[in-house]
Formats: sequence, structure tokens, C-alpha cells
Amino acid sequence: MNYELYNMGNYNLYLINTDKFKTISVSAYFCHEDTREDGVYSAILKDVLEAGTAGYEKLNDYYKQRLEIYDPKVTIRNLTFGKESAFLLNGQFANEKYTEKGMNEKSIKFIFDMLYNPKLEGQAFEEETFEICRHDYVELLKASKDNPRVYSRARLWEEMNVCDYQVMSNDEVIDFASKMTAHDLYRYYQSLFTENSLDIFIIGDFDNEEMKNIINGLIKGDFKPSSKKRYINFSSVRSKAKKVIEPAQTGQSQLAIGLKFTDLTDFERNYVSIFYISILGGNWSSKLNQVVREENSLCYYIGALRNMTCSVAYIYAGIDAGNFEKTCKLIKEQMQLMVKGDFTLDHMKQVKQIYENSLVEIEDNQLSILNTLVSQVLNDADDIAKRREEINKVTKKDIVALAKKINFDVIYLLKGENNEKGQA
Amino acid sequence: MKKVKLKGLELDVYKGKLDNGLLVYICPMEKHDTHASIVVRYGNDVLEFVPRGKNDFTKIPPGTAHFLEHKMFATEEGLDPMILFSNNGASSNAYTSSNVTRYYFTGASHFYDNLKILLDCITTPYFTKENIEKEQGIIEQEIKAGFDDPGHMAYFLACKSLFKSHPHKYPVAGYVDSIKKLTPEMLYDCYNTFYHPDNMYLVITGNVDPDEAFAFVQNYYQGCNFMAHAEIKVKQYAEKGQVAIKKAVETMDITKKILTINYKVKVDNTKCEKFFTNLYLLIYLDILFSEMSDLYDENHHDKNILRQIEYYIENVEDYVAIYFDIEVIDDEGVLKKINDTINQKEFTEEDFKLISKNLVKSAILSTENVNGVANLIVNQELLYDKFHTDFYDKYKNLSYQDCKEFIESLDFSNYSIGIIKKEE
Repeated sequence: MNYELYNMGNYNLYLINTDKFKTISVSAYFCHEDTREDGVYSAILKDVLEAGTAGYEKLNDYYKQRLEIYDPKVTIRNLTFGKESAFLLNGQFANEKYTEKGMNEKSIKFIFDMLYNPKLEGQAFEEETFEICRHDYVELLKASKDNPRVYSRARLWEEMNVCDYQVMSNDEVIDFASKMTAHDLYRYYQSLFTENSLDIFIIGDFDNEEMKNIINGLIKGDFKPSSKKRYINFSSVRSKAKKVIEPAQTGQSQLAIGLKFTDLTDFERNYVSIFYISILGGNWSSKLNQVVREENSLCYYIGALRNMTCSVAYIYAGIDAGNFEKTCKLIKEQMQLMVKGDFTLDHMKQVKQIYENSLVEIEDNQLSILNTLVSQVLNDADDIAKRREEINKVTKKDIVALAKKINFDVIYLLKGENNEKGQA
Repeated sequence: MKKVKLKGLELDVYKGKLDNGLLVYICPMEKHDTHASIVVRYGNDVLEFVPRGKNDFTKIPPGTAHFLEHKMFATEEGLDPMILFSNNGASSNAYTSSNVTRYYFTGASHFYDNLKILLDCITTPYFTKENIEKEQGIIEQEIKAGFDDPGHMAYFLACKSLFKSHPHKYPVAGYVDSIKKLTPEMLYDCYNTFYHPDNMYLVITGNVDPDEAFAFVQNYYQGCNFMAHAEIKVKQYAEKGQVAIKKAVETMDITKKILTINYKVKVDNTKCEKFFTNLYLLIYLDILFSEMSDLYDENHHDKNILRQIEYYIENVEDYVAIYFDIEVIDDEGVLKKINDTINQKEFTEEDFKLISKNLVKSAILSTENVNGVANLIVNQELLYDKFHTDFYDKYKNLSYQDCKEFIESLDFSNYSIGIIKKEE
């Protein structure tokens, strides 16, 4: 992938020029060390910024303006990778070649306006907007158990205690958000431009000099230099998994298992873990799917996911409460079989084929190209050629060695106590 | 095959029909990926029909079409098609709705191997008492997950309240007790009747030579035997215009309240094609309820409303069902506002043009990748019995006057209310 890197003083601009797509995509990463309160601040800040910019009295007038310029998509997210946190502004719009001349600049301005031109009252966000956003956020948190799947995953994360700090419980988040003021949030917002590094990535068919000048005219801030990756590592773990069972008035129970890896090498983190998780529970042919779903009919879905910047993995399944012990036993047995190397070379070949295809497919998708560069820059990930080379080096022995480094941390069950649900 | 240009979108679509009745669409694209979908015009809205080769109507329980979709992956040799797709590095899946069952894959290599797996999958049924029983446990969990989800429950309740005799009132996956009634004979009757090439179509998009792909499909079907072509007789329900239940309430263990208001609107498509009537209705709803509307701004300031109004339409026989749902803390007053708003039937040409202009943008975005183009063709063929290859031009030339006249002809007086709330 060819790109140009421009040093813009205290931030970096990466431009990927390609005429393969009809759209232009933009991502701006404001990165800093992850803190306990980040998630709460950024969630409310996202809502406040998305509630329109200064100069529009009514929210629908703001959105009408967006439609006038062919509705550029703008989203804000907070991402955590390892010990780092990123406040991420994403935008995507149709290239002016397919709409009207001048729309590229207008769209870029609209996207960054969301960040740089919020509704303010002195040194704080506009009180009414802040209050609405905070109120809705707190009320949705109070209703978090309404979605059993999402709730069980949040509870697992809380119990796993992966970060350097103690993750806030739902009640603590509600308490913290309830006490927050428009001034507090504004101070957090200002820190984006003083305590963060900034990397901007843009992909599409445009003139690089023109794009560079547009960005130069929009970005203001005293940004810090980009820091290198800082993963979370575990050298010791619980000797016995913590079991947590909570009741719920649902028909189905949510099983969520947290796993921690110890003393990972970069090769294991980036490549061997792909094989381990895929073979264990990553796709249809995985051991868990075949044994728990297909052979024993215990669930509709079961899967394993990895989060390697935090050295953890999860197993999720929706089951009947009465099958909890049986399901856990089957999962443990399959993990033991991984330790014994009881998986086929054909299965390894399949994982490699899927991975190699995914590398080829990156070129078909604008956001995949952009995100590949982001991971290279922000996470020190290998480039595509190196990835292709490294994935071929993984052996069965490597996977077995990794299987010995994985440990049960938390077994969480949101126990459905209304088994009669689903009848006509 | 006939080649047609997709005007304004730099793509060609080839359309052909096999002797056995299978309709084939192929859209070559300069991508690494290739997608193929085989679509069966059969979903949960068929619960009574005359099986092919028989004379009398037969009844099947709700959830049969979905169950059949699951069982089409069973083979006598025990080879799992999903695993075969994975071995080739392709992603694959299937789904069933009220009026369709679709099987598909996308992959960057082994296209013809994958296409053969897909076609084998839908031409070699294997149903036994044992494999049906085994699948019941899996689908039971899928059903229960739906009944635990307040959003799904709101939709189930909306359908139940709108339709009195039409099977659209039942959940697509059926009920835990309804799927227990299924037998191999029932599944074979459904398969023989609906999984006939004359009731299906194939859509291929991506890195493919159209002539070669068409020849492959032709050649494949030469080795298959199907029952003779015959008109499929499906029970007609003569669904009455009145809604089945004016106000339906369901209790769940949730904190927030979900409200729905659902309209059953008779549409006369003799004067105006369904393609346009659906578009006009959606434009009207966007003007009144999307982010650009006054109501959106009003709701944003209302602390009772936790999530903005969501809306969508479905075509069921001669009716359009319009569903609105909204999450609130308690107060139900917003339903009156929705009803008052939809009945106002007034909108400006300026707002109409603003939404129309963005349809053009959405057309551009939908043709960025192989799955997007496949979805366009699949959905249009299903809804309109043809693919409007000039849809880009049609979007550009929509008439405000025609839209206004159509909206004025609609009667929004038949509506139901659904409430999902905590048990008191």
C-alpha cells in the first residue's frame, strides 16, 4: 500500500491516494494513556459533539445542512488498545467526482467542524445540550440489563480486571456521570488538543497538496508526539477461575468466559493466537462450534474472540441454565485437547487460507486499507507482505506452546430463570 | 444472457435464464472478491400450500422455512458445506425472512469450487427424524434469544397486532413448541415445492467472467433432476384492512419501555409501480421523522425519550406495513405525536429534493463493494420481480408532484399500538 506521510508540525497526516473507490474516508486518532474515567467522559462527549455545532439553533437544521452536502457520515468512537486510549473521529463521503465540485472540501470541513466548533457557553459546553446527553446516557446505563448479551460481556470485563486500574461497575459509572458538570467535560475535551498525539489518515481519489492545505487550515492544537505501543501483559494469573452467577428473568442464559494469556511474545500475539482462537472457537469449523453446538445441540452460537493488545480472550455462548456445567466441561475438554495438540494440519491450513484471503480482500475495501495503515502506525503491526511471510512460519508446536499459556480467569453466567419463554 | 449498463455507476449487469427456470444475474466488478447468492422465493409467510406433485393443501407450522434453511446444510455423507467454504477461505451464511430464504458466500479465491458447494447445498436435501431432533435444540436457543431481546419482542408484537389471518403475524423462527411438530415429510414437501429452480434466482458479483460463470451454472444443472415445472399454489389469506389488535401489551423484566405504533396501509399499485410507491413513502417518512425533521429536534429535548424514533416498512400482499418504535422512560405521549405527524401529509418540495439528492449518494455507496451490489439486485428482484438497472436515473428524476399525490391517497387510520414494559 502506497501512502505519503506529511509531518504537519506537531501531528502526522497520512494520505493514501487511490482511484479504486467512489468515496473518501477520513480517520483522526487522538491518542493518550487510558484512564479509569476515559470511557465515561468520551461517551458523553461523543453525544454532546454529535448534538450539532455552534450556529445551529435547532438540531434538524444542522442535519439539513449535512444533507445539502450529500450527507457525509461522521462518527465518534472511543477505542482502547492495551494501555492506550484513542478518541476517534471517522468520516466518509462521496467523492465530488460523483456529486458536485467543491463537495470534498465542504465535507472535510463539516466533519472536523463537529470536533472544533461545538456549542459552548463560556468555558463549558452549552448547559442544555450537556444535560440532555448526560441524562440519556445515565438512563440507558440504568437499563443496561435490558440487553442480556451486552450486559453479560460488560460484567465479564468488570470481573476480569484487566487494566492497571479497577474498572468501574455500572453503578459507579452512573454515579460518576451524574456528578459530572459541563465544565468537567469541557476540560476533558480541551485535553484532546493538549494531552494527546494526533494522527490523521485519509484515503481516496484527491490531490495530495490540496488535501494537505485543507487539513492544515482546520487542525489546531498543541499535540504531543505519538507514543509507541504499550500492551497489557500478565506474568501471573489466578490459580483458580472466579465463578460469578447472576440471576435474570430471561429464557436463555448468557455464558461469558474470560481467559488471560501469560508472557506472550510478539510472534504469539500477532500470529500464533490467530490459529489458536480460530481453531478453538473462531468460526464454523472450530472445535467449540462443532462439539457444543453441532454434536450436543447446546447452543445456537458459541465463539471465541481475542483481544491481544490486552492479552485476553473470551468465549461467549447462549445456553439453557441447566446445561451450564455440561457446557463448561465441554469447553474445558476442548481447551485441554488444544494443549495436547489434538487438532489437524488441515484445520491449520484452513486458518491460513482464510487469513491469506483476508489480506487479499483488504485491497477491495477502502476502510480496510485505511485501518491496515492505522494498525501499522499506531500498533506497530507488520505490513501486508511481512504478515504473509510470518503467518507461514506458525507451526503446530507454536500453537501447543501458546495453548499452555492460556488461563481461565472468570466464568460468568447470567442465569436465565424463565425457561418457558419462546412458546406460542 | 443480456447485458445492461447500470447508468451512472460504471457497472454492467448480465441477465439470463436457464431452461429449468433459474434466473441468473451476473455483475463483473474489478475486485478480488466474488460473491454468490442463491435466493429462494419462500419464507415464513407460507404456511399452507399444495406440495409439488400432490393435489391437496397441506399445513406447516410457523418456523418451517427457517428450519429448512438450517437443515439444507445437512448432507448424507456428513460433509458440512460451511466447513468446505471455510477450507477455501470464504465466508458464508444464510438467512430466512417472511418472504425469502437466501444462501450466500464471498471469497477471494476458489470461486467455482465455492459455487459448486453452494449449488450442492440447495440441490441435495437430507432430512431424517434424527437430524431434525438434533437441530431443534439449536434453534430453540435461537428462538429464546429473540424472546429475551426487547427489540425483537417489539417487532413480534407489532406483527401480531397488525395481522389477523396472514402468517406475517408469526415470528420467522417460529416457537419452541411449533418447531417440535416438524417431520422429514413436511420438509421434503417444502423443499420439492419451493426449492425448484423456477422459484429461485442466482446473483453473482465481483471478480468473474460472466460467460464462463453462466456456462458453469448451466452445466451444473444438467446433472440435476427436478420435478416438472408447475404453478405453485399458496393459500391466499384475504387479510382484512383493520388491524388485528388495537393495543397490545407484553411484559418483560426491563427497565425502559419500548413503544411501537404500526400502520397497515392498502396501496394501489395499478397507477404507480411499487418501486416508486415504496420510495415515495420512505421519502415522506424521512422528511417527517428523520434527523432533518422538527420532531427529531423536539424529541432530542424530551427527557422521557431515550432513543429517537426508528421506522421501516414491509410489503405484505397489497399492504405496506409501517413500523415505528421508540424507547422511553415511561410517558407514552410520543405515540400521539407520531400519529398526528404521519397524518399531516404536508411537505415542501425543498425537503423532498434534499432527500432525493441523497438517494443518489446512497446509490453510489451501495456499488462500492461486491456484497453491496449483490444486495441491491437480490432485494429489487424480490420486491419488484425485476432489477431496475436505471435506478440511478430514477432516483435523479423523482417527481415531487407524483409523491404528493401518492401520499395524499394513503389512509393512515388503521394502526396498532404495542407496548413492551416491566411487569407491574
